[in-house]
Parts: sequence; C-alpha cells; structure tokens
Amino acid sequence: MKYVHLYFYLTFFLILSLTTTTKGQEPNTARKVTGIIINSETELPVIGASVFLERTDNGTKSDSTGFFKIYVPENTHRINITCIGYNPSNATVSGDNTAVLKVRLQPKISGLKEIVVNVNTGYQKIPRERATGSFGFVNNEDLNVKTGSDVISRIEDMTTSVLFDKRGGTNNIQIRGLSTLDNSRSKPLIVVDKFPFQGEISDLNPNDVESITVLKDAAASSIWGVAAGNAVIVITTKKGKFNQPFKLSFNSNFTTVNKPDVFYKKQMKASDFIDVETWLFKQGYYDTDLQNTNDRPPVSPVVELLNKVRDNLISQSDAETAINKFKNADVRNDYERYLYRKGNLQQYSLELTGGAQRLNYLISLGYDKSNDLLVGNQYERITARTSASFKPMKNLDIEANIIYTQDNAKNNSIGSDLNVGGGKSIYPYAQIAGPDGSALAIPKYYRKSYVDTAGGGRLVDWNYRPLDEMKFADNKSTTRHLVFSLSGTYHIVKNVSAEISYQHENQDLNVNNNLGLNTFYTRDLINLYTSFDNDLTVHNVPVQGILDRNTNNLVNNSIRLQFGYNNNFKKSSSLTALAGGEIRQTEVNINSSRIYGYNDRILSFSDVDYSTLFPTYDNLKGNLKIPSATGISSLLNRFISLFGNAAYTYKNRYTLSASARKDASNLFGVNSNQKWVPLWSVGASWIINEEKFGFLKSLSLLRLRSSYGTSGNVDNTISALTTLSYGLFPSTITNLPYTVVQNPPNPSLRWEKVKTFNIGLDAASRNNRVSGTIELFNKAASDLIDFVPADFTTGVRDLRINSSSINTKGLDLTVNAKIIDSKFKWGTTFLFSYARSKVTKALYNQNNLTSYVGFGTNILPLEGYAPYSIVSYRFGGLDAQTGDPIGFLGGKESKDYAEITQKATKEDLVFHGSAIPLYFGAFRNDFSYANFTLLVNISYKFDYWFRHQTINYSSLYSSWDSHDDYTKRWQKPGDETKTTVPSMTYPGDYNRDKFYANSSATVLKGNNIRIKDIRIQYQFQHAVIGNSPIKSLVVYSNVSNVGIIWRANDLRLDPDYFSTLPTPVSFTIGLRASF
Amino acid sequence: MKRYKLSLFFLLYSILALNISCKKYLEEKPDKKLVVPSTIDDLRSLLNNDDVMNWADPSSGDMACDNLFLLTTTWNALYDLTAKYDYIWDDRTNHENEWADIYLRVFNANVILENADNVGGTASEVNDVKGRALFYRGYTFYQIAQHYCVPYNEATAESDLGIPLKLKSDINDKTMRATVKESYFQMISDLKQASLLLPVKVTFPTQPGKAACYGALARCYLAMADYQNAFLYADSCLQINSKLLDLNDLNPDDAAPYALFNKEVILHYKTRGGLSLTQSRGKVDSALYASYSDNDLRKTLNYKSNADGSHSFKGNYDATTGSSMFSGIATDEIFLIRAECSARLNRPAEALTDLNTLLKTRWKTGTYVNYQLHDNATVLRVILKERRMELAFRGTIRWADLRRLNKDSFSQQKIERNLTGQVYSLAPGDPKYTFLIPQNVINVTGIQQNKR
Repeated sequence: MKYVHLYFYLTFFLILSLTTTTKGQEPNTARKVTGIIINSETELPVIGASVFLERTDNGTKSDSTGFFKIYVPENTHRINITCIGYNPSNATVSGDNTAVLKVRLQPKISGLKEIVVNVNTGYQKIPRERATGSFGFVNNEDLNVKTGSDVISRIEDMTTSVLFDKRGGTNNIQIRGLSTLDNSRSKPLIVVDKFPFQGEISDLNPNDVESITVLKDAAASSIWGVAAGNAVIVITTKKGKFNQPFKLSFNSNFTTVNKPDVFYKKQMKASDFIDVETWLFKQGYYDTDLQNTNDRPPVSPVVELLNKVRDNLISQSDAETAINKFKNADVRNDYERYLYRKGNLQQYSLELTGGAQRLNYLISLGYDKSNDLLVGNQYERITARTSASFKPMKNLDIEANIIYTQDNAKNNSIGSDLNVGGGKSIYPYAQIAGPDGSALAIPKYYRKSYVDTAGGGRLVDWNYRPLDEMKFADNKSTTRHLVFSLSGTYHIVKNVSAEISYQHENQDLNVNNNLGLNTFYTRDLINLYTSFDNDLTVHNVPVQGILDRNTNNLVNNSIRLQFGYNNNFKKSSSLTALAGGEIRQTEVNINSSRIYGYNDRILSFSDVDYSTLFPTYDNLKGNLKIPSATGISSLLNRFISLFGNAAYTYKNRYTLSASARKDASNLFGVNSNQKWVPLWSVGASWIINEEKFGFLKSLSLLRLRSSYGTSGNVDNTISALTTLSYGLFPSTITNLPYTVVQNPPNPSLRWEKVKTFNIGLDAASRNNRVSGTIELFNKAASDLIDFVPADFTTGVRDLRINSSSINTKGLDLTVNAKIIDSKFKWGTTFLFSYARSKVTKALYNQNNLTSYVGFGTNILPLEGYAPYSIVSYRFGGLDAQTGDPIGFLGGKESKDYAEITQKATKEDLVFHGSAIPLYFGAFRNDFSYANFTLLVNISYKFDYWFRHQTINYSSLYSSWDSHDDYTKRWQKPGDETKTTVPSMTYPGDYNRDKFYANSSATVLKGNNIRIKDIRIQYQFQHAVIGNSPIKSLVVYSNVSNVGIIWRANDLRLDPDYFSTLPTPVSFTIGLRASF
Repeated sequence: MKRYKLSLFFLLYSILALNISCKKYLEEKPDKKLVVPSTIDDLRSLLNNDDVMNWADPSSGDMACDNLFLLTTTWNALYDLTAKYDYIWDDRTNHENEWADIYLRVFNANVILENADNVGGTASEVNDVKGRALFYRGYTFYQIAQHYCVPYNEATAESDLGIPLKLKSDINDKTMRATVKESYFQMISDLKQASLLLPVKVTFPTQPGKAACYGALARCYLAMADYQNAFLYADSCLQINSKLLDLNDLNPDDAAPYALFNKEVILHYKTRGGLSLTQSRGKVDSALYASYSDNDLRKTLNYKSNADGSHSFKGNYDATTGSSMFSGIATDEIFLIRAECSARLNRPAEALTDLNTLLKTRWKTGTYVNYQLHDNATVLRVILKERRMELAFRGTIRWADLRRLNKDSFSQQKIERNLTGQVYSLAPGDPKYTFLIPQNVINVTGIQQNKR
C-alpha cells in the first residue's frame, strides 16, 4: 500500500510541476480580456460558448454566467464566438482592452446538425451523426439532476432502455431485457474512459464524471466483444482543455434522508400473536422446545410465562398481568426509535482546471460523508483525481489520469430487524429498551431462562442486548482504490495514428471487526467452549475479545495497442478505421484471519487449539472445534482480444460500418483454441434530409440507421472437465484438506452468444422545437448456460449446460420538445422503453410447472414466458364451511394441497406475466424563468406483476413470521365472501399455507407512476456577485424519491419494495460556485 | 509511405506476438482452489471429504422403524414433512436429498476409480486410494439396497428389481435398475476387491481398512441370509479387532458417554439425521426400554429420563447428542453377527460364548450371569433380543433387521403408530418396507418405481 501512496504523490507532483513550468511559457505580452456573451433575444447570458482567437488554438468557453476570459497579445485581433444553437459571431479585441466586452449571439433556427455530440465507446469517439449503432447519452446536466455519492444510479430515468430492478433491496441494472439466465452475469459492463472498471464503481466521485454513454446494440457494443452481452455503460470523466485560464470550481451539498416507514412491514399485532401463542401452548406445540435439554432452543417470553403457570411457579393472574403488558408493545416502535435514524450526506468537491498550449490539467478533490439510515453505519469517502494532457512534440499526445479513492466505513448496525436465531425471527412484542432507554435482553440462540442461570455465575454474561450490540460493535472497513492510466498517441503520418494505453487498478479492502468481550458473539463463543473440572473453570476460548480481519486485494492491468486511420476524401466522403489488440488481467486475492484473546487496549492475543474437538458447555452443541476463520483464495481472470472496426461515409449521407473482435479467456478446462470466440457487427445509416427531398423541408434532421451483430457472455465458474474444489477449511474430524466435486465434466461448454438487430430513426423539426428518436430491436440470446433436469442418481444435483435461449423484442422512444420557448421556458423530455423477453428454449423442469410458482425474484426459464415470471396456483375462493383455500388439480377443484403443489398442470395455474415492467420510462419537465429553473421528473412502470406477502401459518408457528393478513382470515361461514385469507389450522399444513401464499389471490398488478426527482435551481446574476472573485454562483435544491402518485394496487404497496422497506424521500440543498 | 509500411509491420508483428504468447498466458487457472484431478493427493482429498463419504448414510429407515415413538403433539408440531411422513410410512415423503447425497458418494468413488491409474503415485498409494473408493462404493450400495429395493430373497433375487448400480462418473451414463442379485453381487465384489487392496491399519477410523471390509461383507451376507459367509467375514473382522469397551469405565452422567472413535469403532460413519430423531422429540419405545435390567449399564448410559417419564437415547457412538446416528461398523455388532451366524448354523455353544463375552462388558461388574442355554432355537431368539438391545439406535441397522427378520414367523414384528385415535401400522412384508425412489429421479430416468 505504501507504494500506492508513493506513486500517487509522485505523479501528482509531477503534474503540478509540469503545470507551473508550462505556465511560464505563456507569452509575457499577452493581456487578459474579459467579456460576456448574451443571447440577443432574451438578454440572458449564454453558457458554454466557444471563444477563439482567430488563427490560433487559443480559446476558452463562457462560464455559467456568460463570462469569459481570454489572453490576447497586444495587437488587435479578431475573436470568433460559436455556440450550439446560435449563429457564429466575431468581435475585435486588443490586448489593451480593459472594458468588459459584450457579445450578442443570435439564436439559430436549425439546431441539431450543429450539435457535435461525440459518443464514447471506450475505443474511440464517434460523431453522433455518423454512428450507426444505438447509443444512449446522458450529459452532464442530466447527471446533475440527482445528488448522492453514486454515479451509476444517476442514469436512472435519464435515458431509455435502462431499467433498475430494485426488488429485494438489490439494484440490478437491465439494459434492453435479459440476455443471460444467470442473475450474477446479467450486469452490464462498466467502462471508465477506456478500460473496464474492475473495482467498486461506487468509488468514483460523480462530480468527476462528464457524461455517460450507454452502448445498447451490437454496432455500439460489439467492440467490447464477449463482455458486452448485457450492453456497456461508458463513463467519461472530466478532462482539462488546452488554452484555458485557470479555473476553480466548488460544489457542495447537504442531503437528509427521512427514516423509512418501519410500519410498512405488516406484522401481526402483539395481542393477536399472543393469542396464537396461548392457543398453540394449549396444543402442546412448544412442549418439544420446553423439554429440550440439549440445545435449549429459544422460546418467547409469553410461552415462558405460560410454562411457569403450568409448572405452578407463578399464579395465573400474575402471568396475565405480565402478558397484558406485552399486548401493547410493538417491536417496530423500537426499530424506528433505536435501529433507524434520519440519514444524511455531506458532499464537497473542488476542481481546478487550466490549460496552456501544450498542457492541460484538471485536479479534483472530493469528500463525502454519510450517516446511514441504520444507526451505527457510516461512510466516508475521499477522492482525488488528476488528469493531464501533454503535447511534448508535434505529433505526440500524452494523457495521464490518476484516480485515488479512500473509503472508510463503519458497520456497527445490527441490521434492519431482529431475529433470535435458530430459524426464528422475532415476536412482535419484543422490547429492546426499557422506559429509561436502558438495554434490554431478548433471547438469542438459546432459551433466556436457561442462559440466565447457566453456569451458576461461572460463565460470562450470556444475554443478548441489541442496544449494547450496537454500542459495543466495532466493525470497520477501509478501501483504498487507485486507478492509474497513461496513454500516448502518435500521429505517424497525416491519417494514421498509433495509440498505446495502459491502465493499472489496485483496490485494497481491509475489514477489521473487533469483536470485543462486550459483544454477544464473543461471549457466546467463550461460554460454549467453557467446561468445569470440579472447581476449575476451563476456558478453551480465552476470556478476551476476538479480532477478525479480512483483506481483499484486486489488481487489474490492462494494456491496449491501437492503430487509427482517418481520412476525409473529396465529395464529403470519409473513412475511419481502427485495429488493435488488448490484454487484460484481473487478480483477486482474499485472505481472512482471526485472532483470539485479543485485547484492543494492549494488543495482546492468545493462541487457541484449533484441532481438538472440545465438548461444548452442557453439550449444547456436542463436540466442536474452535472456529478458525482462516481463509485464503486467489482468483485470476485473463482476457486477450483483437479488434477492429471501420466506417465509411459517402457524401456525408451514407455510412456503412463494420466491426469484428476476437476474445479469449483463461476459461478453465477448455482447450485454448476453443477459448477464442469471434464476434462481429455491421451497420448502416442514411441521413435522409441531406437528400433535399422537398417533403422534408420542415425537418432539420431525418436519419435512418440499422445494425446487426453479435456479442457474448462468459461464465468462468463452470468448466468442461471434472473439477474439484478444495474446501475452505480442513475436514473437522481428520484435519485433512478435502475437496468437493465442483463440476461434472461438460466437454461441449461454450460461450453464450447474443445477436442483436437494431433499427432507428432520428428526427428533428426545422426549428428544433421537437426532436426525437425511435428504435426497434430484437435480441436473440442463445447457448445460454442454464440448469437442465439432473438425474440425482448421477450424483449431480445442479447440472448447467449451454441449453437455453431468450428472445427480447423492444422499442425505445425519446421525444424532446420545447413547448414554450420565450422568457418563460417549458421543455419536456419523454422517455419510453418497451422490452419483452421471452424464453424460447429451456430444458429445466418444463414438465414440472409448479417449480415456476413463486415471487418472480429468481429467473425461472419456462418456454414461452418471461424469464422473471409470476406464476400462481389458481385460487378458487375459500371453502364456505372450513375456510380452506380451494385450488385446482387436473382442472377440477381440489384441496389436496400436497398434490397441487407438486403436480398442478397448466390449467391449474395462472400465468400472470412478467415480474419486471415491460413498459417503463420517464416524463421530465424543465421550467425556467429568468434565473430560476425547476425540474420535475416523473417515472412510470407498466405491465408487470408482484406477489404481496401474507400470513403463512406454518411459519408463523415455527419461525414467528407474522403478517397482519391474520386479522382478515376466515373465521366463520360467510367470511369467504369478504376475504381470501384462509382459516387458521393446527397442525400447520405446510402445503396449504404454501398454496395460499403462492396463489393467484396474492398477486397484484405492479403498474405505478411516481415522482422521482424535483429540482429547483437559482443562478445569481452577475450584478449580484459584483466584483467579488466569484464568477458564477448557483444554488440548488433537490427532492428525491418524492413518492408514488398512482399505483394499480389497493394495498398501498410499493411494487419495487414488496419485501423490503421503500427508500424514503430525501432532501438536498447545495451550491455550486466557480472562481 | 515508409511510415505506412512501418506501422503495418508493427501491427502485424504485434498480432502475431499476441497469438503466440497468449496460449500459455491463458493456461493459468481462474481460481487457485480449483483442480482437475491430476495427482494422487487430489484423489485422496476427495476421499477426505467426510461430509460426503462418511456422514450421509440414509436416515429414512431410522425414522420409520420402531426405536422411537412421537407424541401426537410433537408430530403435529413437526414442520419437516419428510420426518412427518416417514413416521407414518406415507408415500408423500420426499427422499430427494437423501438419494442425491448417497449417490454423490458413489459418483466420487467412480471419479477416483477412473483416475487412480493416471495420476502417478506409488503402487501402494494407488492401491490405497482405489481400495477406499471401492469400499465406499460397495458399502454405499449396501445402504441404498436396505432402503430402496426389496429385501434379499434367494428364490426371487434374480428377478426382483434392485438398485441403480452406477459404475461410471459420466453423467450421460443411463440410469437403470439392476436386479437384487446383481446389486448384492456388485457390493460384495467391490468390498472383496477393497479388502485385497486396503491395509490392516488406518490413520483415522473414518478410513476403511481390511477390518472394515470384512465387517461390511459380514453385513451384506447377513442381509442375504448367507450365514456361512457372514460368519467367516465376521470372524475375519474380529481377528483384526475384537476390543470391547467395559461400560463400567464410562460415566452415565455424561450427556454423550461414549467417546468419539472409541476402541470398538472399526469404521466411523453416521446418518444424515432427521427432525423426529432428536432427543427432545423421539421417545424411546417403552417395551425396548423396559427390556434392560437395572444392572445393565446401557440403561443409564444409553438413555436419559425426561420430565414426562419417557426416555431419550443418548448412547451415540458419534459422541454427539444430535439426530445423526453412528451407522458405522463396531466390534459389538460383529460379535453379534458372529453369534447369530453360529446359532443359525446350529452351533449354540459358540454363539453363546460370543454373546456372553459381549454382555459381560455391558453389565455392572460382577452382576452378569452367563446365558446357559442348549436349545438352538432359544439361543437364536436370545441373540436376536440382545441384538435389538445392543444395536437399538445404531443408524440403519434396525430397519435392515426388521426387513430381514420379518421373513421368519418367529422373528416377525408389526409396527404401530398411534396419533390420537388414528392408528397406522406396518405389517411384516408390507411393500412399504421398501421406500419409493424419489419422483424426480423417476421422471428424469424413466426407471421403474417400487411396488405399492
């Protein structure tokens, strides 16, 4: 790590010293000229206009207040001013000028053609009008709509095709549906500037990002080859520019996040739960646990009281008084009060840029600090970034970038809810704090009455107090992450350039969990390994703390050599081509260790005997070895790729493009010639409005483009040969290293293939008031690795082979319109995406349809249906006499739940549809008046289903999983007309409960519309700032996750969060200034 | 133009260089913990996986046999359907996991047997690895046969459906059922071959040696009612190890009085366990408990009293108190096999010597009075009764015994379960003494299901 620091600082100073030396090269005779650029119609400042000294590359841009500064030699010169959407203008200046120059720019009617938006593929920047592929572009302004520490989440609702699947608390990104059947492989490739980012992308400071490009189709992404099957997200970082004056900008904001609604979780009322417990107690349900003198499983306080009454230890009335007190408790109150708090985030970033003729630089510093919603969790991030370009000689460009991030996190929360262990969650009347806020104990792993007296004072305290756990927890993690890249481009001859790029990434994660003597984990372990030898107390685990340390080091090296060709011929034709090769290696080393007898104060520790089987205290867990927690693993991924592409444009209208790539990886157990996979794409575009067809007069742009090509996906976890995997620990009894069969032989293993067809039309009206893009695509993924029915007799349960196919069809539509365009402006952007994935071939369990019934959270490929589908048992109402749910078997009503849940056929099931939205998008409105802007972003998701949770009596009895649907249960004949919740039965019928919980009665439509973001911004007039050094000042405020404004379900559930708590609303205020 | 040529050359050169050097570059493993079995150590490490190789004997027989009974309240409260249904011999039970785990052991054995000759290693190392793999396969076939095919009957063995005999690791090898005769022939042949390859002494009792092979062969022949061979192999086994614990040395207050790897253990195996077998749920059959006299140390060492007057088993040779039962081979069992075979072969005096040798160590010092019997039929009955008492909770043994002893009227037994009013019973010879093969296996392979 020392070295990382060292070379970071070294390079930093190198760049700094370069900056200062080159500054000296500026001509002494030059004078500073300041000016302001104003829209001639609105009289408002024009931001981002280019200002160039004629016949030089000395230029600048107007800042956010319309001001610019330029160094001009003494003589009189002309400056050219250009800006997108305005007619070019010029002015005469002289180095002697001292007054502020005022330039008025005339807004232009036709617009789009002038917009040179370069899309960055990571290999090259392509002017958008020449691109044949499908690119989603999120510019800096759009990225700033959201606040927060994370970059990737800022593209949500900002471009089409990108869906954030948040079910189950995850944040999986799906671009244009699914093209693989394994959740872990469905993530898009994330590229920063030129190379895939291997470390945590959350280490990147969003303030360092200039723009994000999403490569959606084959023509766009096939250059990334086998890793591009799930599309590619290319993040372009901010860079310095040549001939720019020194500029300092500052951005800071504060966010507060509301506490989540803990009552969103529909748990049973304590009184109901106690009623059920009392009733079960009478049935003898708890007798097994109460009489268990082996592992002493936990029982709830009410059951403990009832047992005491039965054993005549307390009176009936005393017990009732105690139980009545419990009836008013609700553990969620404690959650809200003690487990959660209001979250907050502070973000500061500072950026310095400047550029001379031969050198430009950008240095940025960022500091983020957040207090998580969960009490005890904290996060702190420091980022430092430098970027410098240097032209040491005429034909050579050198660029160096360094990103250094350090994260410090504290993870001292005990989680979002409690559980007592042993498969049990928590009884709803649990209390973790006394009236005075003191920590109260709840059972954990064992019965509380047992641990209270166990050992007769010779053991350490064995009680579990959640509040103390939070207080004494000391879990820290630190990440140091360095990305260093260097590239040199040499222009060999006029049209040919060679570029060599290298990137080194080193991410070091250190986790230090200091499990002191106060923590339950440590005390429990000490007690378990205590034995009494008459008067002697033997502690096999020392009565001190435990220190767990994990390190995870990722080192990635990539090197790329690339040749470029670029020639503009006569007749407005051009040819661009590139070819090259790339080698990439990622090595991950993970080590974990544990120190017993650790004392944080004096750093003492003790050795323990890991190899002996010790009898556990009171034989609670039989004989056990002391857990060692030592682990070592080493992972290595290597890729070699050759790639090339070419695009020819004829008459500035017709473009033809093609690309090819060959990838190889160190896929385990495959002959190397089989490791190579060739991938390619072709594309074409036609700018129709260049044809000067009469009927196109009203359009400034009309372009048709289409592409077709292949990309892939790779799974390095499976192999063509029988592979054995060494166990993490030696065998318990013999202490010998052992292996498990990791995978049975599979000689026909190959890479997954994705073929994509895309056709798109871009159009803009003559005055550019309305513009838009529509695209249609078809994605056929084949050879997908998936489970096939395994014959357990072969010894293999999970057999995965290249067996399945998915087809995704879809449409993306973007419409931009300036509805009102005067002093008051109203612009709107409408994003609409449709992606329907369908499994076209799958072998797994096609005959056993009941295996597809569930919550739709896992991919279950059933031919003809969406990979994430909601399938239910057909619900036929409740039996009027018994309140039993009625299902179907063979098309006939049935109550044989065991048979239904195993053998239901197509007619006995309901196939609702997709569990992820087929239609989604956003509707954004920007209003501005004078210096005020207001933005409202509304997102919508349609055509999908979700299953809500309900009461499951068997797990209510065994695991205390309660649900308030209990109150809606059938209790007497007649109730069946009012409710679908079945009656409570004892003994619990697991299959009956499973049937109802997975029946069509618990499925709801997911459709919803929500306000995602509201942003208000005010830009101070130059007059207000006056002569202070501040050149521009913007204050802004932001509200995120405002809330659902419409939803299809009546239960007021948020379909994105059917099993977790919804993300609460957050408020941000901030300011941006530049000097 | 020169520069063009230069750059073209450079490009071609780098592509070529890349292609040549990458072959080796791509040979590196993606995960260091992964290996393709290529050394004798790799194969040995597969054998060392005691979770698979030693700890997963079937428990369904234990849950279905007459060692334990469940209170209705306990049965009602069971949330595991396999335990619940096995208790009342209901075919809705699910043995998929049991089947997969036990055949995984066969798969591992086959991987070893297929690779053992190609991984180097000295002849003795190869023999050891092969011998162990053969033992595991043979022993496992025996266990599968006791649960998933009909009891051995010499008259019909050639036509009765046996178990799928997996002899290849190839997952495309079609699964078919052998006959009962072929099944037993295969396990015996595996075990005999193993006995030739394996040493007498082993490092850990989890590893089979010659004694374990002989013990397992004795079990197989006993199941086939081939008492001559069963006697011979039991005898060979005891030639190597005939040590018996003196129960007077053990402490009845211990939660698990028998030490792990005690001197009676020839081979350490245990069952996968099940919810109905835990001490807090399963209550010892009252008649069984009553059969121990007060001076019999097993009464206090093997059983503990519950508050409600019932008893739970705690005499596990695995030295644990969970539901996984020791199911390996121990000398006491082999003494009983030899005794039974002697009696079956009409040698009552020999039989009684073995029985008395064993029982003397089970009673309080000085209290045991030797059995003095002459009628061979009575001797056999006494041995079977003592076998019932000594091996009551040895994993899988009682179920196998019920199956074989039900053939003779004098040793037949009907099992009954009473769950408040509802009485379930399993008569001798009931087809339910053979469990159904898991439905998913039938679905995928199309092999014939057991009779009902």
